[in-house]
Amino acid sequence: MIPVLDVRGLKVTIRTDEGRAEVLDDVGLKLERGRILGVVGESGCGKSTLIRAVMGILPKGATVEAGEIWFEGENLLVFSERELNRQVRSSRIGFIPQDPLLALNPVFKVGTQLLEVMRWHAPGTRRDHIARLVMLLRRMQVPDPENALERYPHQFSGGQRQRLLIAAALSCAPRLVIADEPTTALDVTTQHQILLLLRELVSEFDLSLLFVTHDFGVVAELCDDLCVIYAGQTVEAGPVQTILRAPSHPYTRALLACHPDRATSFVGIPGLVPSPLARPAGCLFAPRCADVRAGCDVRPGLGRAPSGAQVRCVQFT
Amino acid sequence: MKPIVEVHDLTVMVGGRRGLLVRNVPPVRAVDGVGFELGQGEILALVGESGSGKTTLGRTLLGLQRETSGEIRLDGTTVSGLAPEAARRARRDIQYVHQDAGAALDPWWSIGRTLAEGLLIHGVRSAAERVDRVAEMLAAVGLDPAWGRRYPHEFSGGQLRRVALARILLLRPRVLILDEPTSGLDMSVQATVLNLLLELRERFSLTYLFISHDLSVVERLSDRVAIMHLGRIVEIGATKPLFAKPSHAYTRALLDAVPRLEGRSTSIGMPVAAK
Amino acid sequence: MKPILRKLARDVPAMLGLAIVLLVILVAVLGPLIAPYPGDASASHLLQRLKPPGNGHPFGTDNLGRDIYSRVILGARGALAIALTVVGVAMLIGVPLGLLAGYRGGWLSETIMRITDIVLAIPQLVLALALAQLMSPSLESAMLALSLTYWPFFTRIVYGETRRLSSSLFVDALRGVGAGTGRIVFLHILPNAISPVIVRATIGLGFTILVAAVLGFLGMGATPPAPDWGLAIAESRLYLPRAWWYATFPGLAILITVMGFNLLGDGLRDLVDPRIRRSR
Repeated sequence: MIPVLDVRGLKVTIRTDEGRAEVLDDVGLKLERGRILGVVGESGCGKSTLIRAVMGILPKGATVEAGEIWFEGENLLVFSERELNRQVRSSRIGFIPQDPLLALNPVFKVGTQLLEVMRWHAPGTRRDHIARLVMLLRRMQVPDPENALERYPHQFSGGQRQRLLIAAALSCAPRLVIADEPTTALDVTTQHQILLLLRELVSEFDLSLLFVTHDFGVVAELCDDLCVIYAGQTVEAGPVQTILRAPSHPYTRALLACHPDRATSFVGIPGLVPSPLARPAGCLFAPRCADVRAGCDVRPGLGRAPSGAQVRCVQFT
Repeated sequence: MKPIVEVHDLTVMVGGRRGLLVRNVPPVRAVDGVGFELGQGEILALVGESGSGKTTLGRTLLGLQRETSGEIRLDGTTVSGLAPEAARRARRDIQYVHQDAGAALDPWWSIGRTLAEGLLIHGVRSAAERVDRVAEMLAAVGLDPAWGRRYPHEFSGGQLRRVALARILLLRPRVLILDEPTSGLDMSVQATVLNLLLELRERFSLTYLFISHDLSVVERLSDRVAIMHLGRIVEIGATKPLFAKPSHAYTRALLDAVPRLEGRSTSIGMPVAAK
Repeated sequence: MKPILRKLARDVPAMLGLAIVLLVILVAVLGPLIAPYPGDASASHLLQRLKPPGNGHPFGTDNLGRDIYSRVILGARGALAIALTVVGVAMLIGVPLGLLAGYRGGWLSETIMRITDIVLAIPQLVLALALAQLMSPSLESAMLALSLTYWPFFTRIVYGETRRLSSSLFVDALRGVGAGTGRIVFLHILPNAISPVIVRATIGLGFTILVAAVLGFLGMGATPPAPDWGLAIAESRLYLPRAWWYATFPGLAILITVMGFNLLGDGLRDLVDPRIRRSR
C-alpha cells in the first residue's frame, strides 16, 4: 500500500541576514494510511519548517534543496503554487494549529470563517457546507452546534476553540491532518479529551494524522509511529512502542531520560541545539552526546538498530 | 516542621467594576476560603487548571492582589489586612517568579542592570557591591557573569528562567512562589531548570510554593500537593500518598488525564466533565 | 541596536529623508557663512530689484533687490528653530500629561484625556490662528500657539503606550521587586514608550515648518524683514506671475524640508513598529 505521506531526504535552507540557514538537512518520514505519526524534537529542530514544507507554505527566502514529498502517490514538490492551493491545501490536507486563539479572527463569526474555507475547497452548496459543519461540531461535542456558527471566537473556551479548529480541519474531508502541538496551550483534562477525540476521529473519518509535539507522554498516549528529529535530521523512526521500550539513538535516550516519568534525577541534556547557521561537521548530536566514540566526526546515515527502528548513529551503520 | 507561612480562610474577590458610564460587573470569588500551611524548607505544589484561582492565590500571598477576608501569617506575624504598599513591604521575604520570564524583564535594560536594580531598590548603595553580587548570583544560577551585559532577547527560554531566578534570589527571599516555572520549555531544558531549583533550595534554604498544572513534574519535585478547583483547595496532602490514592473525584480526574510514558490510558471519557 | 541601523540604511526613502534633514541642519547652522550675501537678511538694493535667476543671483532677487538664494539659506535657521521649539515645548507638555494619565487612571486621567480629545477635535490651523490673533502677531506668539495645539498628539501616544506598558508583565515584576512609582514610570515606562514619540516628533517637525510658513504667509508669524520662507511667498504675491522665481524657491525649500522630515519619520515608524520589529 502506498503511504499517505512519504517524505524523503528533505533538505530546506532559508536565506537570512546572517547567512544561509540549513533548517532541514535530511528529514524522512513515512505515514501509513489510518495511522498516527508523532514527530518529536526540541524547539529549533525544524519541526515547523517540516510542516510548512509539506503544506507548501514555506516562508520567503526558503528553498527546497533536495528531497521529495510524496502525498498519496504524487510528488508535491512538482506542483505549482496554484495547483497546491486548488488541489491539496485544505481540501486534501487539513491543519490544526497550536494556538486556537491566534488562528481565528476575533472580529468575524466562527461560521463565516469556517465556511469561507469550504467555499473554495469543498464541493456542494452553502447549505451542504453548513450541514456538514453542524454535523462535525456535534461530533466534536461543541455545545449547541446549530448556533455555534453564529458566535464569535471569544465566546468559546480554549478547549472548545480547539474543537472548532479540528472541525475546520476536517470540513473539506481531507485525507491527511497535520496537527502542530494542538494541546500545549490546554489544561490536562482538556488535553486528555482532545487526544481521545483525535484518536476516535482517525478511524471514524479514515484519516492519517501527523502529530507534532515535544511531549513524549502525549506521543505514548496517542501515536502509533514515532519520528524523532534533531537539528533538521530524522535521528530515529519506528513504532512508538518499540522506541519507548528500547530507544536506540543517544538523543532519544536523553530526551526520554528527561521525562519526569523516567528521570532518576533532573539532568537534562547539556548544551543547545546547534544553530542552523553553523552546524558541526560530524554527527550533529555529537557535541551534546554522552556516548561519543570513534567515527562520530563523520555525519552518519540512517541505519537499523537491533530494536528494529531506523537510527542515525555511527553505532548502527 | 515550623510553618513559615500560614493561611487561614482566605477569600479573594477579583474584577468587578462600578462606574457612572460603564456597565457594572460583579466581582468573582477567585479564591474561596482557602487555608494551608507552608513549612520551612518544603516544596508545596499548588495544582489546578486555568481559572482555578491558583495564580490569584499566589499574587495575594505576595501582596500584589488584596485579600478580601481571611488571614495570612508570615513567621507567626499577621501580614494581611494591610494597604497594598505596606503589605508588600511586610512580605518582602516572599517573592514571585513569573511564568513568562522573558516578558517580566524590561527589554531596554541589560540583564546586569535589571538585576542590580533590585539591589538598589533594597538599599544596596555601593555600586561595586551591586556588581559583585550580580556576578556571583549569575554564576549561582549557572550563567556566565559576563552575560550581564546582554539584553533579554539574546537569551533562550531556559536561560531566561535562570535570569528571573537570579533577579529574585538577589533580594534574599525565604519563600519563592514559582508560577509554572517550566511551562513552554523543552523537556531537556525543563529538567535542568528543575534541577537548578532543587540546588538553589539547598544553597539558599528556600521554601517553594510551586504553582503548576504539569502533574508529572509536581509528582517528582514537591513534598506536598494542594489541588485547587474553582477557588477552593479540594485536597491537600503528602505527594506520594495523594498520587497513589487520591480521595477527591477531581483529583482522580486530573491524575487520569496526565499523559504517561507507560502507554495509552484505557479510560475513555472523563469521570468529571471539565466546565 | 546595530541591526536596526542596518535596516534603516536599506530603506531608500528614509535615507533620502535623513540626507535632506542633515542638509537642512547643516545649512541652518552654517547659514551666514555659506550665503553669498549674508547682509541681505535686512539690507535692500533697490537697483537690483526683481532680477530673474542668473548673473550672481542663482534664485534671482526680490522686490527689494535682495538675493533670494541667500534668504532661502538664511531662512533655514528660523524654520528649524521654530520647529524644534514648538515640538520641544509640545513634548514637554504632552509627554508628562500622557504618563500621568496613563499610569494613574481615575478621574485625573479622564479629565486629562477629555481635554486632549477636545483640543484634538479643533482644526489645528484654526486654533493656532485664533491663538496667534489673540496675542500680538509675532514669531513668539506663533510658536506658542503651535505648541499649544500640538501637545495632545504626544499625550495620546504616551497615554496609550503607558496604559499598555503598565499592565505588562515586566512592570508587574518591578512592582513585585518593590520598585517605586517614579522609578517604574521614568526609568522603565518612558524609555519603552519613547520610540513612537520620536516618530511623531520627526513628522511633527516637518508639519510645524509647514504650519509656521502658513502663519507667516498670513502675516501672523515672522515679521519683515526676517528671511522667512512663508513670509517671502506672501510678499511675492504682488509680483506674480511675472517674478515666478520669487515664490518658487522659498516654496521649494518648504516642500523639500517638510518632505525630508516626513520620509525620515515614516522610515522610523517602520523601524519601531512592533509587528515589523519582532520579525527579525
